[in-house]
Amino acid sequence: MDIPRDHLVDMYATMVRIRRFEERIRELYFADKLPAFDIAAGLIPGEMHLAAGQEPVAVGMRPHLKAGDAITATHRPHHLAIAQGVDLNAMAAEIFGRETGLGRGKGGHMHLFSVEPNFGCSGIIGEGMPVAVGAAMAFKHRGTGNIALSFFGEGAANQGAFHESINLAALWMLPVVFVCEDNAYAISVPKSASTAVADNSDRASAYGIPGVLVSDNDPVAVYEVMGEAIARARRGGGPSLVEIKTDRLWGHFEGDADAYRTDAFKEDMNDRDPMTTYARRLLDEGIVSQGELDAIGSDMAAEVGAAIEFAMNSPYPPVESALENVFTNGSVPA
Amino acid sequence: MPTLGLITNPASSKDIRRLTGLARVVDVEEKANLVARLLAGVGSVDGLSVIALDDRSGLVRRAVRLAGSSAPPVELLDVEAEGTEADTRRAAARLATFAVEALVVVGGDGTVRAAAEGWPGARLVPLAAGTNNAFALTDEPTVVGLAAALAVTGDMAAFTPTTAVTVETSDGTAVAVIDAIAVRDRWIGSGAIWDPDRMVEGLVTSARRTAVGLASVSAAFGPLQTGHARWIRFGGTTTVRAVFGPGLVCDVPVAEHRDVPIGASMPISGEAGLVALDGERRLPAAGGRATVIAGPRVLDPVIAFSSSLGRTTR
Repeated sequence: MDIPRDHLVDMYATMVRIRRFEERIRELYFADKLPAFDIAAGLIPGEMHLAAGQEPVAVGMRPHLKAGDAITATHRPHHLAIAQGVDLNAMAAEIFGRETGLGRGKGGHMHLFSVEPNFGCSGIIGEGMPVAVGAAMAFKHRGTGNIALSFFGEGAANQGAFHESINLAALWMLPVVFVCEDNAYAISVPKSASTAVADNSDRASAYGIPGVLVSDNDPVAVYEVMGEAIARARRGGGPSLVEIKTDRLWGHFEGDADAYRTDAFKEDMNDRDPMTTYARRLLDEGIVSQGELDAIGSDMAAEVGAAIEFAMNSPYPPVESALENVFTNGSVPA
Repeated sequence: MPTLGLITNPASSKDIRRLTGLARVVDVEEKANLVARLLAGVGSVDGLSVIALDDRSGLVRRAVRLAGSSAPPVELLDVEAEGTEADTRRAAARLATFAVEALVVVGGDGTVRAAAEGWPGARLVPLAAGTNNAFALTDEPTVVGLAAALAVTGDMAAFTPTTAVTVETSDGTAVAVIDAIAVRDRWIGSGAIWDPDRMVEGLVTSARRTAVGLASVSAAFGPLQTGHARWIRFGGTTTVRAVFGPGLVCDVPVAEHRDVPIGASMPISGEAGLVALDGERRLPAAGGRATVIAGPRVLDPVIAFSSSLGRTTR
């Protein structure tokens, strides 16, 4: 296929935006939490799960999205939210627990919810899959032409919700694509110790839907496969399961000693960092010049910097608002 | 004691063609079952053992367990797998050092290609577990196992010569066992080709009307002499209706063709961005050169059985 230059460059710029954001969050996360690690202290309260290395999974779907498409994600959501175009300022503010955040500072990093674009995530393993099926069911009934994408890790593929969601989506031919981000470790548990099958894409045939394995953590490979899967869903072809082998460059969470992965494993991952390999390929193909790559780097750093500044300058929600927006009609039951 | 080598690819038959056509997933359990049936066929002949490199999925272990007492003695070696075709190349090269009589390769056309690259001189027993399976044997695996065992303990003439193509580019040298095609794409991406309009020209090593892919397009122009490949330039108004992939019937435009012998060499078209080897985008085309060479010897089960008649009838 001919891939438009715009798509190729936009995917790279988005990867840079994601990586700069994750790096900045990582730098700021430990502020005021040390020497004795106090998870509630500092600028960013709570846990932090960053997606450095997994950028290709997110950017590969981006050019195929339409307004109104729904994405559900996990405890490691930033790359997907950024790729879908969630407001970066509001996202940063939410991570920092500020009132200007997506959830008015009450959800935090694992509970980012946006209406437009339609994005949601949760720290409960497998939570997003039935939600995506529900969204797809609504789209089909309303005839909107939209699709839902459910992102989850290889560990979540062993949850009951995975099997129930795919079964129902297949039965009702719903416009949803299930995307398994396989980074080989569920926290510290290697896939071989948790999963009876070698490839989760194998599980697709149990539900009569296509399963595709993307072995390369390569944005163009993901772009091609997601393009086909999304187009299939949009034209009424039903769901599919896409499994992408990707790399989680850092620990499961910030503060993770990551001692369960060998130095050799980590070195191999860093050697194939998709930021480096994709940039090199864009240069070699003459798609961009080094000057353009540098400009993208500066622009994205500035965007991320502005979002972080917005977050840091935003107020915390007042204590009195703690129970506001918890119930849909606004009132707390007696 | 004669030995058969065995390598398997857990990733074959899982690529984008599950979405662009009607290809199905051949999952690891199915492959383990194929290997178990092959082992049952091999095990029925005395005096033969197998040495296998287990892949990242452990499917050979599963197969040996499944085959039980019908399997021959199997020595299993563990390998460090990256999850790429380099695993297959390395596995084939490693089995070459054990001087096995023949190499059973379980996977698709890409798997066979990588094995042929890893061990250029190997006698191959390619067992179909891929998408198109234009090269591999699609017979019942038990039949293939028995035929392979009879051949390596009897008449090696059952391994018949094929033709291949070697491609040299700035990225190195590679081998194609079915076809080496210059394509317009500039990105390897998901690898597979599913649109015939992307093809510029290339070499096809066989002509078989019932094959899937370019071997069937080639067959439209008559039989191909042994020791030759068919060069085809795509485009123009004449089309050949062929099965380009499972569930995918295409009218492939063919402008020109001619047969070329082993030794013939030609530059890769300047119109191309990449060279696709056996249906997968692989190498940058710029400055590349393709040469027709003698390919690997491949088991012909019919010959294996007919030359073993005395051993299999009482």
